[in-house]
Amino acid sequence: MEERLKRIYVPMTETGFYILFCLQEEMHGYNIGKKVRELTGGEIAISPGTMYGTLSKMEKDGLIEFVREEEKRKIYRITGLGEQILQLEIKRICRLYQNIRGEVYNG
Amino acid sequence: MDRRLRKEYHWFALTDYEQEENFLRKKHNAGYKLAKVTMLGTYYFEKCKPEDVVYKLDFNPQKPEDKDSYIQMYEDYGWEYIQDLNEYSYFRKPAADENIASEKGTANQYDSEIFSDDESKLEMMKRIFVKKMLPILIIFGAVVIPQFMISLHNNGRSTVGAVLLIMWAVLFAVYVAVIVRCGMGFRRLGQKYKNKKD
Repeated sequence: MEERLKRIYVPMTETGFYILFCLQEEMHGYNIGKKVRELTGGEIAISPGTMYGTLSKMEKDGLIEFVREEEKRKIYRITGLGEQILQLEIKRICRLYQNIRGEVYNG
Repeated sequence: MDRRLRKEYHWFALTDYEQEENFLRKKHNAGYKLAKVTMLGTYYFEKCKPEDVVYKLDFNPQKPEDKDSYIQMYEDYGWEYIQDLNEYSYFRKPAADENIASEKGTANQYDSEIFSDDESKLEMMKRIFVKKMLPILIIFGAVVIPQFMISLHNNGRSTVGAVLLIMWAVLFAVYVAVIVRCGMGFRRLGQKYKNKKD
């Protein structure tokens, strides 16, 4: 994996993380926003400019790919590279979580 | 031109989009909704019921084939697309009712925003800088300064030379004014978006 991408995406913004996490299933922008609200009990909302900008950037960097268009809505899903970055991020968050709970972290 | 439309002139610099948004919101609150805006800061307003409507400008130039899906995403979120000008897209939406917002939880505070984090505001600012400011700087450095220097060197030895000197001097002054104004604007926005994070 490119070092440049690691530097940009690890650690990730909360918005970035939830978008990538949701795109493990095929989805379009507005539905990602709805799903994130559900997942976070309404604590995290992603506005359209942020959603559009993040999706474009992730597509350009090859973390997600365009699948098809349905009624003018672009549907995306995560790529292999995106999955690698997501797993790095999940591992990092699990370490944080274990440390917070006073558990032993063995990598 | 439709006589029912009211015309007003306002000039906003590249970095003054937040001021422009506030200006349009105030007009709508006073019963004048934006009908259209054209080059050289000409705004046309239509009389309407005074209402609190939020206006937002996004700068995200995309390929023509991506335009529909771009607008659709904003519409899904309840924003009305008005038009594009100078690669900025204009949107509006009735302001969220604050009482309802506090009942539903914190997420609603972003209902009247098009950006939910400062990173994406900074990204937009960078896009404006690269697409709009950089060309101005390049023309200034590659054309205006050398031409101004050449005419200064010739020192208006002929009538034509004098006219040229004045022309380049005026252009030089205009470019300096625009660059200083926008430079300060970028600095102000950058500090604002970065400081909020801390």
